[in-house]
Order: sequence, then structure tokens, then C-alpha cells
Amino acid sequence: MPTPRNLIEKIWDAHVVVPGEAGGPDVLYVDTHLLHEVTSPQAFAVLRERGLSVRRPDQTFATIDHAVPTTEPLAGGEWPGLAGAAELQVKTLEANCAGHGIELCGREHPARGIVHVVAAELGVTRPGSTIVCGDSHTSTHGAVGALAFGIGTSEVAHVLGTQCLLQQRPRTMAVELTGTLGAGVSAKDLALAWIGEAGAGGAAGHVVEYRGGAVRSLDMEGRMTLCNLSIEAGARAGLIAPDERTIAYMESRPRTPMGEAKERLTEQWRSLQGDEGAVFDATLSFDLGALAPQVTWGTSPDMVTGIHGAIPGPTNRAQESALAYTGLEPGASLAGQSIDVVFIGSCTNGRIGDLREAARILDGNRVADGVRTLVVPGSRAVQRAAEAEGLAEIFTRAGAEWRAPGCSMCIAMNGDVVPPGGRALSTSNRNFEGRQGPGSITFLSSPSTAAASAIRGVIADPRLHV
Amino acid sequence: MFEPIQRITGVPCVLDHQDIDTDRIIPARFLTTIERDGLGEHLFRDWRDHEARVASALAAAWGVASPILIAGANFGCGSSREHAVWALMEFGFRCVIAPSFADIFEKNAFGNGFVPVRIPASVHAELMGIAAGDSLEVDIDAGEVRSTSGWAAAFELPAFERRCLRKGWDALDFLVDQGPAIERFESVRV
Ligand code: SF4
Repeated sequence: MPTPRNLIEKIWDAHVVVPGEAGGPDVLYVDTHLLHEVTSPQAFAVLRERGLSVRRPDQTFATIDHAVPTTEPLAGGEWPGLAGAAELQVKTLEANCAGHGIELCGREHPARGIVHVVAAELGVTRPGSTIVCGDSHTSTHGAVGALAFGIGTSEVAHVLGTQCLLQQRPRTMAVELTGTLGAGVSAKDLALAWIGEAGAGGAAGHVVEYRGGAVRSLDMEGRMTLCNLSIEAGARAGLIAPDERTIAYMESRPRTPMGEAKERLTEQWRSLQGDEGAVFDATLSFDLGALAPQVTWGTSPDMVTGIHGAIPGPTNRAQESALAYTGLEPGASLAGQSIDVVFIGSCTNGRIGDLREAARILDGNRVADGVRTLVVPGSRAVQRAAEAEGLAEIFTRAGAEWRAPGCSMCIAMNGDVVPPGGRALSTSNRNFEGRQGPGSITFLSSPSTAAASAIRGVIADPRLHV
Repeated sequence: MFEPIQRITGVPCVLDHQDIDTDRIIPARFLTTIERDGLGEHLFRDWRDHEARVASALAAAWGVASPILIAGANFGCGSSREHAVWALMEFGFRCVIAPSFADIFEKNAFGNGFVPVRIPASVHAELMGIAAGDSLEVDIDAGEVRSTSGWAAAFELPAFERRCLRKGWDALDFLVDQGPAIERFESVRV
């Protein structure tokens, strides 16, 4: 009898081109390579230096998202706000894609948006495949049962040139999450809670398979939020085995083939399960019980607590330095902390379900005076849906800014920044020092918490609105 | 391809802080570049600006052209940006000694011939005790960190990566050589 294997091992094994010698790294095949403007230019330069071409332009898909403005481009390609170095970066990707025959979801493309939102939405992302991108949140695509992970720019060159990577076989970790998500509590809260339990390096070296009732109960977008945040616990990737929800989602993707090909694929996707009796290198289980909305209080996503929790007294140097940076008082409650900026968007929480969650709370309300509230859809499709459903109008009526898609204030490269000393409540994924602008202070939360807090101008419990 | 590395010596620069993320190493606003150069001057830009301790540690390192950085656990977490390694190298560092590294950072480091030296937390604590002013030698062949005062501790590098460092190889050469195997793989799969 062959040794039972878990799903991670099965996907890995199916992509090994040349096994590593004596514990060395395997040559791993990449099915889908996603590119964006910030981490790819130096990789194309390497190809040029070595005289290599792109091996599989047909398995490569590019977007512009990190550095682009969240204003609308004008007809003819002019784009107010896109200037200087960022413009050169966008033009460089445009030239590289044109030169190598790579599909680019570019400035006038009807699907443009954040790489992880767009690739999933179109169905470029498929169960059982290996997906890489020069971006740490590539783990998002694990939601459909893919092995998806971030790589550095040198590795982007490796994949462009050979469609392969040298990768050490990962350790595997099962993370079992049980508990119920009540009204006003979402996948983001679940994810932050488990990162808080595991720690920022808690899953380092591992690929995580999420299991358990709390995971199964999430819709596909919620699963993307959970898998997206895997890297914040240090995991190389995070995935969820396909179930009927996954299949239904995949069946409705524009790039999923029709007819017989579709049936063959769905059958294959259904079979992507770990074997009975398969073991993992590590197993963690958390019963999250009746989970409260979570909000971070420090400068690492694992510095997190329930919204009515107190900001803890520091127990180590990192916490001490986080509190020195944020200026928060140990012992004070998170709820009630004043905020200057609310950011709703990013590859963590910029999908339509996230905007519906926020709009439900903002509907008929106004954001507090002096709180700049920015709502940035993850893609053109999300933007169109939000406009068609009337969500965009709810946001603007509430006094929020409704913007065009992009990474925006998640990484603050495009001019959307939190001012120095400003306190932002954000639905993005990182509260690192200066992540949203030099001297900015970030609290991370779900879209519901962000919306409820925008109305009051202080961190507020969204369950007051259910 | 890079210069083969055998040993790295110098007075270390100490930033004893855990979870030093790549946003901290090189803030995102400096990533709008299509080059690898020009990042060194922005290394730890914002952190230097608001923490005198960090600014003076780096200023001292700059003064002695220190190639060795000592940091806390989970170094290089967060964003996958290889710019973090490029910035550290342009500043003059050739290795980081820490109890643990984030996965992507570690791969990026090896790929550039920058050495992530992983030591147990207990050894790290010892090192913090002796590091001030003492010169260190990181010996890749022997897998040992030594101080001029006679302190020494072993570290391990993965065998494949160590070979690459010693020969100045990078993975792209190796992968390009796998062409026939990749073709076979593709032909049976699709
Ligand atoms: S939204 Fe933020 S985390 Fe996601 S890809 Fe963009 S910058 Fe990275």
C-alpha cells in the first residue's frame, strides 16, 4: 500500500520535474505565473542579460496594480496621477509583455485590478495547480485548492525562463479551525484570530491546509481572505481542499472551459483530497468559539485581540517597540480608539462580498467628520458590480471616497497615503511601521468593523448594527 | 552568478529586534524602480529616522563598512520584495545572523549570494553578550561563527545552497540545464 499523502504532498509530487538529490531542492513545475509591475522589471532584465526568452507566455498573466493611481485613466491612455518612476514601471511591464507575448490586464483592460483578485475572478487560478507571483499574498489562490506562493524577483526570472523553480519540499501543517462566526463577524476575524494564536512566524517553513467547520462554512471569498493572510503567520502557502462550493465557483469562472472539458476538469478537481490517514508535520487546532471582531493593536498582524479587549502590557521587546511606535496605552480598550482614516480594499478584503458587508452598515449613515474614508474595489468587475448594486452610491452618500481599483493604501505606493502620525483602520493585511505611509499607524480589521468605525470616528463594534 | 563566498569578517552591526519585516528594511515608496541599484541609501529609511538607536547602529556599521548584521528572529518577514536583499547588499552587508528567517527572504538571500546564518536562540543570546565591538568571522566552509575573543558557535547551511555560495552559482544556470527534463514533463502533462 502506498503511504497516504495529504493534499499538499499530492499537488507537490505532481509538479516535481526533477527530484532533489540528498535532501536538496526539487525542480518544481509552475502552472501559472502571475506578474505585476513592481517585482518584475529586474527579472525581465535578467532574461535579457542571459539571452533567454519566456518559456511559457501562455501560462503567464500580468496586471498593473501596486503603483497605479486609483483615479480613472482618460480615453487615449493618459492617466492623471501616474507619473515619474511609477509610470516608467508600468510602461516597462507594458513593453515586456508586448515583447514576450504575455497577456497583460493593462490600463484599459475591462478586468484590471489587483493581481490576486483578478486572477481568481477570471478563473486563471485553478484547483490542483501550482501558482506563483512575485508577491507574498499569492497564497490567496489556495482558496480554490491550489498550491500558490510568493517568490522573489530572481525566482520570477527563473519561472519566466524555465517555467520552473528550485524549491525545498515544504513541511506541511494542518490548521483546524472550529467555532461559529456570528453576525458581524467574518473570515477576516477568523484569520486574525488564528494568526494571533500562531504568531507571525508560527507557520514558517510550512504550507498550511485549513480544515474544520469554521473553514467549510466560509464562502469562496471568505476562504480567499483566510488563505491570503497565511503569510502573516509565516506560512509559505495556505490552501483549502475543494468541495462543492469550490466546484460551483470554478464552474462560473469565465476562463473555465465549457462542455466536456469542463466535466473532465470538475471531476479532477473533486478528487483533490488528502488520503485517508495522511499525516502532517504539524497540526494545530483552535476552537474559536463565539468569535468577537478582531482588531490589531501593534505593528505585526499577530498583535491582535478582540475588539473589547485591552491593549496588553508589553511582554517582549517587539511589543514594547510596537507600543512606543503607536503610542497606545497598555490597559486601554481598543474599542473607542480614535481614527483619522478608514481604508476598505486590498487583496484581503476588496472583493464584492467585502463591499456588501461595509455598505450594509454604511447605508443611511455618514462617516464621522474628519475621518477620510477610502473605498477601493479590488478589480473592475468588483467596481462594476458595486456600482450596479448601488453600493457605490451608498459609499459616496455616506461621505466616503469611491475609487478605481488597485492596491492603493494597502502599500501606499501610488499617492494614497496615511499622513505621518495618522491612525488608520484598514481592511488590508499589514500593520507594519510605515506600511501605509511614513509615520502612519495602522489597525487591521474586517470590512464591517471598518465601516462601523468610520461612522463613529472611533474603533467600534459592528455588531451594534446587526 | 555572483562572487564565490568563503568567509565574511568584520565588526557586526546589531539590530536586536524580532520580526524585522521587509517594509522596514526598504519602505514600499522606494520600490518604484526598474533597477536593482540605488536602494542601499534607503535601507531602514523610516526606522533610522525615528529611532536614534537604529540610526547610530547603522551609522557605525557604515563607518567600519560592516558586512555582518545581527538581528532577531523571523528576519525578513512580510513582503516578498527582493529589494530588501539588494538594499542590504548595496549598503555593504554580506550576511545576517538571526535565530530564524522568513522563507521568501531566505531564498532571495541565497539567490543573491547573501548569507542568512541561522543560529539557535541560545547561541543568539550568547552572541548578543559578546558582540559589542568584537570582530566576527563567518566561515561558510566550516559552518562556524567565531569572534576575535575566542568565542565560537556552529551553524548549518543547507547543502545545496552552501555549494552555490561557494561556487558563486545561481539557480537559473541550474534550471536552464534541466531543459530536456522540463520538456519531457510538459509533453506528458499537456
Ligand atoms: S493589495 Fe496590498 S497585499 Fe495585496 S497585492 Fe496589493 S499591495 Fe500586496
